[in-house]
Amino acid sequence: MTAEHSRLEEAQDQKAPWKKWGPYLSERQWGTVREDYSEGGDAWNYFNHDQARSRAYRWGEDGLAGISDDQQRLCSALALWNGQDPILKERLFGLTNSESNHGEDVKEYYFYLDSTPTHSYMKYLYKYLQAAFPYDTLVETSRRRGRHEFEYELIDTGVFDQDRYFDVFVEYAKASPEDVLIQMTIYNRGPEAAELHVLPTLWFRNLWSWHGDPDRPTLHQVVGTPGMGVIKAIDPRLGERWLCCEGEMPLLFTENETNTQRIFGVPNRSPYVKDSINTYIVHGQEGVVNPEHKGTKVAAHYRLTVNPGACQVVRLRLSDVAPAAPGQTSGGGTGPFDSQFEAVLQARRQEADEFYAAVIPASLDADAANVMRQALAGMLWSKQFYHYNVDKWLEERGSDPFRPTRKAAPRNDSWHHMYNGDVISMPDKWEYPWYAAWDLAFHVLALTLVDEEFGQG
Amino acid sequence: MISPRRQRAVLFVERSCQQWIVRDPEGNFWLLPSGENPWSQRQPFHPTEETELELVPGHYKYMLGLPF
Repeated sequence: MTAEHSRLEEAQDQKAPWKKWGPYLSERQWGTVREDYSEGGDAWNYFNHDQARSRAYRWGEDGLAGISDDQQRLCSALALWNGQDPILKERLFGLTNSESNHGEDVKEYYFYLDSTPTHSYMKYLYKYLQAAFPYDTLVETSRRRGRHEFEYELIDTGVFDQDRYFDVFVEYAKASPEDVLIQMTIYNRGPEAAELHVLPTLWFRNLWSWHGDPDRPTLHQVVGTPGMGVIKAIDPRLGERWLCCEGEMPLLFTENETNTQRIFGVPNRSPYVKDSINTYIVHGQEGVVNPEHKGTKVAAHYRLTVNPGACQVVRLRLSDVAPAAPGQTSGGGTGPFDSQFEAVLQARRQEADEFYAAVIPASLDADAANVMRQALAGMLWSKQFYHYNVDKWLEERGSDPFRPTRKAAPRNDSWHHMYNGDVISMPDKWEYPWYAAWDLAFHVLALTLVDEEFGQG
Repeated sequence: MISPRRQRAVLFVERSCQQWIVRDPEGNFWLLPSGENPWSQRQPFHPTEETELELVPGHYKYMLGLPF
């Protein structure tokens, strides 16, 4: 039995919660039915990509190469800025159903490279441009194209010419079920040195605004941690966590709350809103991040210059143990980024190899085996925390099924008995970030190869 | 026990005056200033034919401190 098979067994027997943290963020929460409170059921246009950076989600979260706990209380993902883009790259961009000549389509290049079924090891690649992302060009050109023409892709815009882009690899390795090592390796594929702002971001899914919940979670900076930035996260149900960020960098705090000025035209109660980090970095606006170093959303601000062909590494660690302790408990080190960090990462990579060697038929050649492994990784990365209380959703849009003067909802009108709140397999976390029985029936077959319990569940 | 649900308040924004507007369960309209505890500082509001109210999802009622 491989180490990963042992972890699966421990998780199934509820001896150790190896699946508690995983890639459970969606790639797109905007433009979904759950976030749609429009009169006519126009999900794409009611809550669009342009609003996503400013408007707190009601039912779930999205992010680049992100993870969360299995109740999606605390989320972690990557944000990037190349100094040219009009906004931070916090989530994948794509065309809505009406914008594209062939229906909705993500216009980004990202790859789910590897994952074990307990997510003890995961690897993701995002290709980030050094030029400004051509948001408008993609929309305008695609709108002009007819149904019998090819789709207009990001690479067709010429922005990847001369290989002026970054390869951003993100790896996760679990030292324990609650101790997640995060390593970002950024290569400059272009011909010249290029600057990149790397913003690992930690935030709480907003539950407090929608429930009148007095138990609001908090993030704050831990002082006196030389050589690293440390954020302590406290949630009444999740407990305490620490995110350690290697090196010296500013920590930018705000709140995961709607920028009501931008979305509804009504002044904000506080200057610290969901898009404050974007405003601070991209527009250089002071006073929008909290100088008291606390909030419900935070980003570590790494500013890197990467030489052509070279790479730089950013390391973080999300743990339920205070920062001085993780290395000590795992082998005599003195901190979260001691030699044990690299040892654990290497061990999980090797254990992933051993796991897939046991799963993939020996009759396959190396290339075919790699295809199969990456296909399974894609399925495992496509797990998502899916929350939808239809009764509540109907009530919030004035379609309360038990109210005599109710107005009809444009969809899901008779599904008020439906309550979802679990990690499930998605057909596609950008294009199709909701489940369907037909798709799930097929998923079961493939997922059972690597995780029988999840497949059956 | 099954009991009929209460009538709900309805939230709007009025972009021209940059204010939250609430229609309470009795059908009265109120203008809410931005800031902390806006409900406690509500003022009566009388929409006219020119008033353009934009519906806001009901889950924002907690953020505004509405009592219903």
